[in-house]
Amino acid sequence: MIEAIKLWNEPNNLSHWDFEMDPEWREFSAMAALAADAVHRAAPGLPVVLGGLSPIDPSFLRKLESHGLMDRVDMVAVHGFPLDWNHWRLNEWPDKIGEIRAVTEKPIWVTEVGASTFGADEVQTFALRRTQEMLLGEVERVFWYSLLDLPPTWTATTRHKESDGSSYYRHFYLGLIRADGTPKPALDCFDPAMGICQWFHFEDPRLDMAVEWLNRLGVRKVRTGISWADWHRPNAAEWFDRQMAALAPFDVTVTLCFTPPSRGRRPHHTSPPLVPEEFAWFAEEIVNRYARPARTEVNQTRAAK
Amino acid sequence: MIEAVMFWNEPNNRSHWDFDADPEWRLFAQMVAQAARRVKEENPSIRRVLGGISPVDPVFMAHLRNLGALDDMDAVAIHGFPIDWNHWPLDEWPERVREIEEAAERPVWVSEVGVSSFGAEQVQEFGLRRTAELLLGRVERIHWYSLFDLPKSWPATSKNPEAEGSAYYRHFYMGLIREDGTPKRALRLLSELTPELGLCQWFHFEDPRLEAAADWMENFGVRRLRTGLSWADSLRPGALEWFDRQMEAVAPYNTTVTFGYTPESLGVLPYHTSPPRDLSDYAEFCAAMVRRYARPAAVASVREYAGPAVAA
Repeated sequence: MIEAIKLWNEPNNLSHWDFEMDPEWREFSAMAALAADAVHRAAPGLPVVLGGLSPIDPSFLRKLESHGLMDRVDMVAVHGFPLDWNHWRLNEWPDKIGEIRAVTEKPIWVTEVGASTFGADEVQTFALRRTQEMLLGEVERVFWYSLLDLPPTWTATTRHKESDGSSYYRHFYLGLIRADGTPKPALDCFDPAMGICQWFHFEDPRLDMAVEWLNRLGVRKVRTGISWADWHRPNAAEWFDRQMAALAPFDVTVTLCFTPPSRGRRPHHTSPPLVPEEFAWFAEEIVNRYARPARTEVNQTRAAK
Repeated sequence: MIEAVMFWNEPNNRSHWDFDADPEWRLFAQMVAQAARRVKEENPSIRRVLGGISPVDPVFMAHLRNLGALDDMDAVAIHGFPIDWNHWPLDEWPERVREIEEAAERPVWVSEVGVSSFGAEQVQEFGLRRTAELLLGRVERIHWYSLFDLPKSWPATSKNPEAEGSAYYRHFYMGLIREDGTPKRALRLLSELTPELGLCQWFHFEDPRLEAAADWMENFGVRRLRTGLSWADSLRPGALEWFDRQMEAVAPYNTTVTFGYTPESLGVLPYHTSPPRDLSDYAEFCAAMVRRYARPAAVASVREYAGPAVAA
């Protein structure tokens, strides 16, 4: 079942929101507020989570608050990869949570935390253990990023290869399972009190294999996404029906993100949309299709079988 | 004492050699071959090592061998930072060494290997321990990079921030000792790994950390050190005075001294990665430094001074 809807992803990161086009995030705030209201109307009681901040920046939340967005969401979220990209240390996780706690009373979810096996598997094992020690019990939800390595032939589309330099390649090794399907050593230390964040590409052939691993690990909480841009592709509903049915046995946080190029002020998935209401309509459609109580019952019946 | 001279540093890396100005490395090969001959004339007992290549690239090494760059070299060297920048895993170190041994037909030294404590000191500690397991006993020399963190106010001049993105900041945390002078976790391992494990430590011109470095090395049983004398700095006022101080401070160690950086005034192009206009200028600089700091007689007296630690 869907346990939460997440509005956008990393809104303070150029990889997901073009804030050169919307420098004060006014358009973002208006768009997200409309969508939050639409979700609350369509499914009262279904929590709305603000897209995870990356980098973790309390002043950004204050900015969104000044635009009235914070009253419309139920919780906030943060992302951190201190061994790979951030400029703060792994042990500072509690301080980073504290910085956000200081500016909001909403619950804080850590919706992406991970460590690449770029140079050595042992680094990930260490980071996983340490992250579990620091964050479980500290926040309501922790989603480890990720279950599966990115296949080397795929590109990490939402990243800026040039600006990341060699650290770009770290993206490919964030999984607990290698691209060839073999598990890494960290898998043995995974505590299912954490959730898993796993993206699926459109018609991703790894879906069933991923679900099998999630079951084997005893995972309950899964975060994934439904791409607004992909929703405009032919056969979109068919694919997402399949994705959501496969994930129905889990408590799923669904992230809604990515402007369809045809609907952006600029034809790019990070562009503010031409018509902000359209994102709310999309959110409502997703909630009606996948998170309505009737649907949930059907899904639970299927899960029980 | 100076046990080895290293000719240039990372010749296949733009941060040290402008290979747009020398696309086939022909100038480079001639320059180092000539310098190796001159050093051999000055003091044949000093080992001559080609500057560490980074990335580790057997094709590049074979190319230099074909150009005759290795003719008077006793060994070649490689640099690797697999946890931070390279695109190969830490556990592949032995394979990297073997590839270069085959390409160079000479012993391979690992003259820079290190791990940044960028996100967690435990990562560095793990990296040091594993590196030692993989390389000690496998290669003649390992120089751990580095003793000190780079002060944050100093730019990592030889690197390229734009091309490296956030990976650039890893440069600042390569030391076993923090900028404020306090030790990191991995330093505890050092005395278990010395004297076989050496250190690589650069000193800036008139570096105020020189004496502190000597104290730390003494306390942790370091015997093997790699450092450098900058050809570019040699033209600055007071250069010899500073070089004398530096070489005196490192005299108790088996030191590998690296000669690199073209003086702006002597380059084909006015920067330190440029090929020099006259290749023999570099050879003469190397010869002069060896004459000054590694005369056969001086070597003998340093050996006595260093005492049983060196004999062992």
